[in-house]
Amino acid sequence: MPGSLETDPGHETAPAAGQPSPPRRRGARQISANLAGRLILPVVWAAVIILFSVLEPSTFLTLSNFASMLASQASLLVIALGLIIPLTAGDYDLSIASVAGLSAMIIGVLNVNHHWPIIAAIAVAMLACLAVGVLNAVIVVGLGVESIVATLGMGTLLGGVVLFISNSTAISGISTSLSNAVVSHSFLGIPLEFYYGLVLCALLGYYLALVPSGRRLLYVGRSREVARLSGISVGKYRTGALIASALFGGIAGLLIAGTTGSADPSSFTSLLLPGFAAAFLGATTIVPGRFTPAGVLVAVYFLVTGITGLELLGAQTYVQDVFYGAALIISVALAELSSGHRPSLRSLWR
Amino acid sequence: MQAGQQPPGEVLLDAGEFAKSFGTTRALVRGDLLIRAGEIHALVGHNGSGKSTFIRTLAGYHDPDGGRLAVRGQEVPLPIRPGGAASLGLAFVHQDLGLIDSLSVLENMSLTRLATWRGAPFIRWRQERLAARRDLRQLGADLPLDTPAGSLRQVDRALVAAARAFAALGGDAGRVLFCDELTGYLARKEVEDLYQAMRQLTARGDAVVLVSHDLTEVLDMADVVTVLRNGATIATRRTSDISLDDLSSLLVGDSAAVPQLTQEQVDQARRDSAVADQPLQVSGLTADRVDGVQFEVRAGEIVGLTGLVGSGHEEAVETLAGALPATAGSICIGGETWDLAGLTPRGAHSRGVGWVPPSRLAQGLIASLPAQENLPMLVLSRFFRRGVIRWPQVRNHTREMAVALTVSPPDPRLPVQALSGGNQQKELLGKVLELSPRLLLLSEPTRGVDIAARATLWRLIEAGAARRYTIWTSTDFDELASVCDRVIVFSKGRVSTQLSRESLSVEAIARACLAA
Repeated sequence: MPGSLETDPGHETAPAAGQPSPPRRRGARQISANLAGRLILPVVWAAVIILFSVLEPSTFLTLSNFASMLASQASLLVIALGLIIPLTAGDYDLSIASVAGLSAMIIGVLNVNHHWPIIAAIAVAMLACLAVGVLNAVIVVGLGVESIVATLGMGTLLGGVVLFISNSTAISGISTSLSNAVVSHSFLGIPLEFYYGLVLCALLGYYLALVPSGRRLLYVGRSREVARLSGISVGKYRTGALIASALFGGIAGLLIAGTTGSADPSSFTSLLLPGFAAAFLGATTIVPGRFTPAGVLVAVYFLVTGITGLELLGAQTYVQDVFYGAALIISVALAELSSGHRPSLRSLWR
Repeated sequence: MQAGQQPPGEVLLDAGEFAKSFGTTRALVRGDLLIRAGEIHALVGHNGSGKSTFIRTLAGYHDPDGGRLAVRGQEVPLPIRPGGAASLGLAFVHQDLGLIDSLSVLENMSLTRLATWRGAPFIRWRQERLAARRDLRQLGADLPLDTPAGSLRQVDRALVAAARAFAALGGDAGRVLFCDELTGYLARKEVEDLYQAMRQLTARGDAVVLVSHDLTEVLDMADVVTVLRNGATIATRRTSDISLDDLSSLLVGDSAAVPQLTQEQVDQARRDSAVADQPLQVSGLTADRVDGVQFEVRAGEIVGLTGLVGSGHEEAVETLAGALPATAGSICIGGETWDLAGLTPRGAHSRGVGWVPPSRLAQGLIASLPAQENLPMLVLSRFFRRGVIRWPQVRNHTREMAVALTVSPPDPRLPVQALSGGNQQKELLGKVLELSPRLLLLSEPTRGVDIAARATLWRLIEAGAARRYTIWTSTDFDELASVCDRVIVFSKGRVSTQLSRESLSVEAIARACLAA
């Protein structure tokens, strides 16, 4: 008996490791289940559109309603896209909504209060966001603070900074050239900001799916140790991801400032949860289990379709919070269920 | 059983004819163990001899296929149900100890009790302190209760785990404590302290079973030794009645079966005749547990590195791979020399050094990702043309690789976690071979895989060995004797013995490790 093998305690769940096993069927089933899973959200989305079109043909099924739904969510789309970059690398960025607020407020303060040209104001806002991203990375990657803690702190801190630089008041009257470029001018009846979101979506999708460094970001997120031993500079990728998410936050702030022509210091934090809801809901579709820009796109517009439809039916504004919160929970629960390792309730209580 | 002279104590545990198979692998063929009160009983045997399986069966972790068990004269029905071992007075401490390093000694001691808390609605910490201090004193350990467990010496951590396991038992004598390879990472002084603590238990009529690799330690400090080989109990002797030589003979056997792979022997002969002129040289390698090591590998040669657990051969390979920082040392391949201090995994890759790490899922592959994203991980840029990763090509390439590696099924979209251990290991080897390394480093490349997969892995590694340098670490002496041209034995961070092809046998390697 030369080959009697011991399973290595602590490394594997014995006895599976030691035995020759036939090709497992679970994998094959998982793939077909995933194929069905991919399409659930787009199908549900289409069904929701049809449902509201039938119920509210005069208000829901109009070009202006669709144009407004598509354009109004551009900033949320950009925030959710920004979130999935560090999420892919295994980090959270809870400061992104405050970064958007900082960006809009810097533009407002410099352009309106200090009469800077809009381009210069935007440049300073982006530099500030870049600096926040670098600072986040120093704290998370350099000092080793958990990203969820570090960025929660940073987000709260920036909320205070925004209140400080704005004197706690909304600033309106931002240059019309910005609102023209963002919302007033349109293409095919849809304001330009929608297309900006689409372009970012396509660029990020290209980077994550088709560029080697985008795939390395995924490796870093799935296993820091495997990535490190595979020669990937884990710290550089995490740093890059946190800086990128801050820049996306900055762009979202730019779009908000352009859409409203103003900067309101208290309105930004409400973007954080919908952003996460869209990111996680998006990870249940297109490529289940992964954060994809295409998934985010579907999720953002599915969520706004549902909310808009319900509001047209007479629901109050609280329906937004209910919808976003439920979407976050349901999407993460779906992801857990489809991952295959679900303990039975009984075993959890034992 | 051939227990030596007059039995010194009452029989606490009598296990006979334990058997356990996993699939077609017979891990335990006939395990016998007789434990008497007041003895420290060592259980020795090579990797794969069935020690761990035996102990896990006694702990109720595995259900045995057959066997009988009596505890203090009472027949016990098998299998032992989970948790049933404690009520029989059997306690188990595993190698990883099961301590939470960030919690205090006191909190760790209270862990099991609190896990099944049925008492008052609040914790009486004063009583917990007293109990913890009393339980530790049973082992003669007087440890600061408020210190984090992680900051203790290794041996003291082991004592905390042992005291905790012991305290969970009922009764106050006639208990048996099983310790699975606690001494591997301990310094000599710490090993002595551990045995000293165990003496406190045996003096009261309990017994201790220690699984160990170190025969010298066993002979010096244990009372009785039981030897397992190839899944069967070979002998039980009093340590006073047996010499080191006799014990290692028992352990190794007279004619340890070496798997025959004739094609490979042919290859090996060819390699021996074609000794290249530029050997690889490692010199002055110093790192954690490695102390100024130097050795050579000839082109086309497969060199095995081995030693007892913790002797530094694993760490030596990790520093060559850039995975573990070296404090000093250099390597020279074909006239190119580079510093090992400050070497990164990427630096190693760029110089043509590939490493198959020992833990395939924690270090090698990403379990949740499919083969097509694992196999080409190191060479993804190769498929990046005109601004796009050519995924269809990646997929085809992965399928071809998987077929060549005999991965079953060779589906490039199947997540690695859906494959068996052997197939995962083939994919990990494939991932590293994608680099076409000049130097291939293998750390336990066949650990926990079945026999068929092991033979395939050997063949895959040997197939290209003539074109590169290969360094292979393993604690499976069978494997080393079968595949290596030369074996370098480490002891306490240094090279202690080199065995050339002619003198290479399972027994020779075992003796060299044990004598070191």
